[in-house]
Formats: sequence, C-alpha cells, structure tokens
Amino acid sequence: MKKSIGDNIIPKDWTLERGLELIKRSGYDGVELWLGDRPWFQMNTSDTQVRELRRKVEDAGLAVSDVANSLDWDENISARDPRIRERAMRHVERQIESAQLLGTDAILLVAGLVTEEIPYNEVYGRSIEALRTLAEKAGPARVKIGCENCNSEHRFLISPREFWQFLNEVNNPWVGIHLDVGNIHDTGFPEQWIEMHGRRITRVHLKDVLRHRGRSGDQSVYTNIFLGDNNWPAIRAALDKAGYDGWLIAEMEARYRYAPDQQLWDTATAIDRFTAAKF
Amino acid sequence: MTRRIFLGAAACAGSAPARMRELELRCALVDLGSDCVLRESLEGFAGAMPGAIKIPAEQLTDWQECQFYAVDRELGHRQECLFYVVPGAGAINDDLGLRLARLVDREGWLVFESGAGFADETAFRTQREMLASYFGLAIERPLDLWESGASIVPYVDYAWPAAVKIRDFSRVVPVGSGARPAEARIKQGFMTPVPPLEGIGSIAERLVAVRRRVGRGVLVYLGSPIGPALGAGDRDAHRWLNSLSALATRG
Repeated sequence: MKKSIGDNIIPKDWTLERGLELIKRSGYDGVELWLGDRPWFQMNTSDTQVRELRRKVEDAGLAVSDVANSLDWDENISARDPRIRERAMRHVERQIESAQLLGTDAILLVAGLVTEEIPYNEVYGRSIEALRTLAEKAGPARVKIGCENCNSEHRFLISPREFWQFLNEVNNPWVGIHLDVGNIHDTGFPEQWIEMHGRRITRVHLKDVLRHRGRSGDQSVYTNIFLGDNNWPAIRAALDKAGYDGWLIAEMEARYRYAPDQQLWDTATAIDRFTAAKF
Repeated sequence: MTRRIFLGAAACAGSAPARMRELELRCALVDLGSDCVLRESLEGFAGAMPGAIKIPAEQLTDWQECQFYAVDRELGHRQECLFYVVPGAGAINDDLGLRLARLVDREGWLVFESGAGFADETAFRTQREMLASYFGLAIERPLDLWESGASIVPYVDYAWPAAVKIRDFSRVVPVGSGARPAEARIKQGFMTPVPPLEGIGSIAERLVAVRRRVGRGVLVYLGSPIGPALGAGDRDAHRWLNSLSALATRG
C-alpha cells in the first residue's frame, strides 16, 4: 500500500513546491489534489496548468493518488436547483478530466447532501441519476468515481448496507466508494464497511475519531491516527481480507499551532506502522 | 483402489452436470435437532451447500453396515456420502459420537462445528467428552472474545484449506494443546493410532480450528462457528467451505 496526503494540509502561506517537498521528505508516495481548495487547482485552472501541476508533483518525486474536491458542500449533484446541479456536474467532470491529465485513475466526491430543506428521498434519486450520467464519462476515461462516506456529515447513506444498495442501484463498475475510516464514528465500525464493500473501494482515507465526543459547534471529532477510538488492528485486518492494496490517504486536520509540518511527519510514521500491522 | 477413488472415478464417468450433482450429493448436513444450538448456522451451511442432504442425527444408524446414504429422489438411487457437516453442535451423546467416529474412520470427512459457547455447561461437558473419547481432541471452556470490552481483531485466520479471514462468532471453543488418548476408540476396537493435530485456524493467539486424520478419514473441528458467516454472504467463508468440500469429495 502506498501513502498519500491531501494538498490541503500544506500551510496556507506556503507555495505548492515547498509543500510538495515537505510531503516527499516526510515519507509519502503521493498527494491527493483538492479541486477548488488551493490557488494552484481551481475550476479555472487550464489543462496546460494542470499538466504543469503534474510536472511539479512528479519533479518532487511524488504521484497524484486521486483528485478530490472541496466544492460539493456548496454545489452538490443532489441540489434542488438545477443550476447548482449543473455546476456540480461540471466540477465532477473537471475532476475526471484532471485525473486523466494528472495520471491517476480515481476521484472523490460527496454523493448527495441531505438537509432540512432537501429530503433524503429526493437526494437519493438525484444522486443515482447524476452518478449514472457521470459514469458514462468516467468509464471511457478509465477513472473511478469514489463516493465518499461522509455519514452524519451529509446525513446520507449512513449504514454500509444502505451504501451497498445505493451502489447496486447506480450499477456501474466505474462508481464505487472512497472509504473514509474516520467518518463512520458513532454510526458503525469501519472494519465492517471495508468487509462489505471490498473490491468496490476505490481509495481509503485515514484519520482517527473520538466516537463519544459528538459534535459541539465547530469542535472536531477527528484526531490523529492512533489517538482516537478506531480499532486499527481490525481495520488493517479487514483491508487484508478485502484484498485492498491501494492508496492510503491521510485526511488530517491542521491542528498543530506551532510547527505545522509536524503533522505530516507524525502521520507518515503512523501510517507506516499501520501498514506494517505493528500494534 | 480405495472407496473414495472408486466413487470419484465413477462420478467422473458421467457428464459434467451429473458429476456436479453427484459431488453435491456426497455432502450431508447432520441436523442435531434440539442439540443444534445455532440453527442459523445450520441454515447458513444449507444455503451454501444447496445440494447437500439434510440428515437428522438419529438417521445416522447402523454403523456396522456403514450405510450412511442419501437418497436422490430425482435420480432414484442411493448415494453414499463422503462429506459430513455437523453445524452448531451442543450436547452430543456417546452413541452419536461413536457413529460419527465410524463415519470418519471409513474415509468420511467430518466438519464438526462447535456451538458449545452457546449451550449450557452440561452440553459442553458431553461434547468435550465425546471429542476427547473418539477424536483425542481436548477442547477448552468457551471463551467470550468480546467480554472484556476491549477491541479485538475480529477475524479467525484460517491457513487451510484456503488462507482466509472469517469473522469470529463472539464465543469460541478453543482447542487445548494437550491431546488425550482417544480412550473410547480403543475400547470400541478402532485400532489405528490418532495422529497429531494440525492447527488450521486461530484468533487472538488461540487455536480454534484444527484438523486431524482419523482412521481413513479427516476430522475438521471448528471452535468458531462459520455457518452464520456463510448465511451472511461472507465470500471468504464460502471460499473456505468450497475448498474443503472439493478436497473432501474428490479425495
């Protein structure tokens, strides 16, 4: 398994080059690029600039593990407003195009966002319809669409079986699950999700979670790997059982007040230990 | 030519579907009735082995004639079984133990799945005695893997007949290291010595699945039920069972 971390961990006042150098030096094999998050990768970034981005990643000795986006929370494929849905479709299509240009075969999206205003059943139907359409573009591009399990954050597809049924209904081999083992917290157990979804897992996000904290305002429930309540030996064994040998992508919060680069070093060490199953 | 090779050759002589049918027919699920303490395990095996014959334990009779046959109602002939599964076993009396031992002694492969973790103390004791007497197997008290509240790695790691991970079923009945002499076997006139145990599955550093060649057959003991995992559609559990039944029915 190879390890990666999102470019959104790079301190905001750093350049991309400096960030990539740190990512490489702290032991990662790749970087997850977030469309819409940092100035170097926006919707108006041209194909030429995306190719340049790839060159910088490769010059740093890294590969692009996948293309995520930070736009789904504002413009989701399940929105009621057709104009917002259209924008959402466009940014996901741009992810697919960029993935090809960046030499990777997976993207991440938040498939569906249930709110007090937009009910579950509407979101379900629209998301399936949108994913079937997007899969028509993803298949020929040979890019897998990984729907991230955001569980209680998107209030959608909360259980593994529900997610499984959802993917069955999308019914396209190019649409799978980008499994985040930290997002499940008190709604279940990541090792069970891994078992159930097996080969449908496109990528894995790693972070730990404080199950019993719950959300209080903007207080996070997430923490560094091995500091929370996830059963890491069980998760490791479940990945073996599922035959997953792909990218492990750290999705950490930048909580280090001083020496923010320390987060990358600590996380890389933790992932190495996780991969080696030394607990 | 052994009976197993003869039967295998006879089956091979038919067409492919007929051979499959015959191989399936060589599998039997032994229903212990009220002594099957995990009915869902029985159902799990039944779902995974659709061609297997379900035999009530009391019909495993007349061991001296060794007539453990399944009747194929479609083809109208009797088929000798080679592969037996006893799912979710609770209490096992001495008489049934003897009949199971005879099956194994005559080239049968027996999967004995203990459900003693879900049975009462008496049932556990009868099972322990039977396994010790006829198979020289020393099982230990049931262990609740989750009792301490600590997170564990919830998989039994199997090394044979396929390397797979299958979810534990909470209460396991481990196998101890000290194998006792199979006293009742000696008493009943089984002459062959009992060879050493081979561990095939473990969890939390405890041996919970073993195999042992007994007479001309093989005993496979499962201390962590896999029938429920079969019923839940666990692919590894199905792979494990398919590998085993292929070995058992083809010799």
